[in-house]
Amino acid sequence: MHLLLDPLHYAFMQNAFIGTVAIGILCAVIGSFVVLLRLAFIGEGLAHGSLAGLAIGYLLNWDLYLTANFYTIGLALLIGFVHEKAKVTLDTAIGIIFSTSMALGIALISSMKFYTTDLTGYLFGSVLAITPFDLRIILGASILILLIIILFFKEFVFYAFDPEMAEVAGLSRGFLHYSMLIMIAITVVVASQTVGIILVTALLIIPAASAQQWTRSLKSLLLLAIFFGLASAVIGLYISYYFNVASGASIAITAAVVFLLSLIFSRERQPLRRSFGLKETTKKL
Amino acid sequence: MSDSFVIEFDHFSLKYGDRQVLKDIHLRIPKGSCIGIIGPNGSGKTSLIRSIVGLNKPYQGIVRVFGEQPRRSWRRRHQIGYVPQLKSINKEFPISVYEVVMLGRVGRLGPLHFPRKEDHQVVQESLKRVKMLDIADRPIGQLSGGQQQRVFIARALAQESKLLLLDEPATGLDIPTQQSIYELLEQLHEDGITTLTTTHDLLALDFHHFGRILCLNEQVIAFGPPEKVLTPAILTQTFSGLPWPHHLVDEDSRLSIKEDSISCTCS
Repeated sequence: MHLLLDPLHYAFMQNAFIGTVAIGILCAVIGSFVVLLRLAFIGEGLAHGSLAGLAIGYLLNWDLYLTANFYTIGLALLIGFVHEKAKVTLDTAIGIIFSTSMALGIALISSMKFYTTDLTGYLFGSVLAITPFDLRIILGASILILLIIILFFKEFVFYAFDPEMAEVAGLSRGFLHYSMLIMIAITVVVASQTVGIILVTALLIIPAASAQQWTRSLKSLLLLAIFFGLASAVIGLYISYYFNVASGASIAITAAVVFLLSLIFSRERQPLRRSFGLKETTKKL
Repeated sequence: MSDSFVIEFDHFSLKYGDRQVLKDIHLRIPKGSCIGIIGPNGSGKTSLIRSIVGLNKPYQGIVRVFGEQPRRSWRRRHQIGYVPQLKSINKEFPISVYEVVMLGRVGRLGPLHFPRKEDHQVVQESLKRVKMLDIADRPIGQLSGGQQQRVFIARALAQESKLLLLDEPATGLDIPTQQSIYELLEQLHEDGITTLTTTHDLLALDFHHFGRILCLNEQVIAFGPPEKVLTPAILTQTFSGLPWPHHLVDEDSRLSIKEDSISCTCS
């Protein structure tokens, strides 16, 4: 018990813990839609592309994550715009925009005096990086996004399952598409504070993918993804604290272990259970 | 616009890039009619249906549904039930048959509203009509193509729409399932719902269920009761894709099959 509570005596760890819990939940919910919409690459692209936002914030001495948030929202909208107007697939649009943006970020960083420790924190995640102001941004963004998802849940589900029919039924495809892109952008930047921009996709994708191994019900998927996301984030945070490793790496590895265990033990994957010499089960979640 | 027409095409043309898909469609679909649309693959049947639901913008002319252009009548969208051609779905999507049919209520419910008791009743009734209530809890990804098609018909029924568009609903289905779909069309006709059903497969089409047949091949070849339209000459014209007018030219190069208030003009 001391192992769990002792770190929380430090103010920075309290911030990190609250922030990590919020990020774990937010990533799991948005990540479930990212997985269902098959948008894994956009999470990766926006995270990497946000590097330029951080560099601009650093250069102008603005709040880094706030600047990155607005920059990444612009990036998400630009990806959607290029995809629609330039007659290229979404993957191609993401590839063009994120590599250009990352190149801009690298160019800015290489041309100015950037402290290596800061850069490591942004790239791989650092629990020390969460200030009380950052925590307010994390909590505010999480509450706002989760509220939007709850209020428009059936609309987002319809859009994710069958976008064309959602449009025929009178839903605004543009509103749903762009609002989802904006929410992914905000989630990616907010989550990058604990997992870093390199590994943010791990927290976005892996908990939802793990949940998918266990259930074929949407509500169970979301609840399980939240549970896995929360568990990965919190366990990863403690591993980071005790073993002094970058929090992004410890959270991503924990999430990956959860996925591996889900793959082996889930009732939906009977052949794999057999190959591991486990009993088959018939009951499904 | 007359209230007696659900759909009105006025000199409607559609292009995909440089390719003409529909040409000078001039058509009136009366309320409560049961229409079968026939034509070979690539004749513009799906494009015609997609134009009615507002997914295609006209190159020329206009289409009105319930007196309004489809893209401008968002509030009326739920009045159009649409069952597209069977396509591959995301089989891993964690959604049950019941939840898919409930999606049909989303447009009617509007944002910030959750399903009520009456919505659940409509969903159950819709599933019952397509004989899928027994497997309502099954994930949609586990169903066969024919079963999925029936679920999507139930989703359209759950909209309680006054106009139902079915694009190749019988394609790939076994004969009993095809029969049950045609029986369902008859019931809907009795309920006063206007239905438009397309097929490229003449053998799969049971003409007796339709009040009128629309023969389409880029333009309207003929439109009228089956006994008047389904002649060897018109069918050859429709399926051969020969330049129009060819077989059916009267003195002023116009074909008019008139019955009640329906008229179709091809020039």
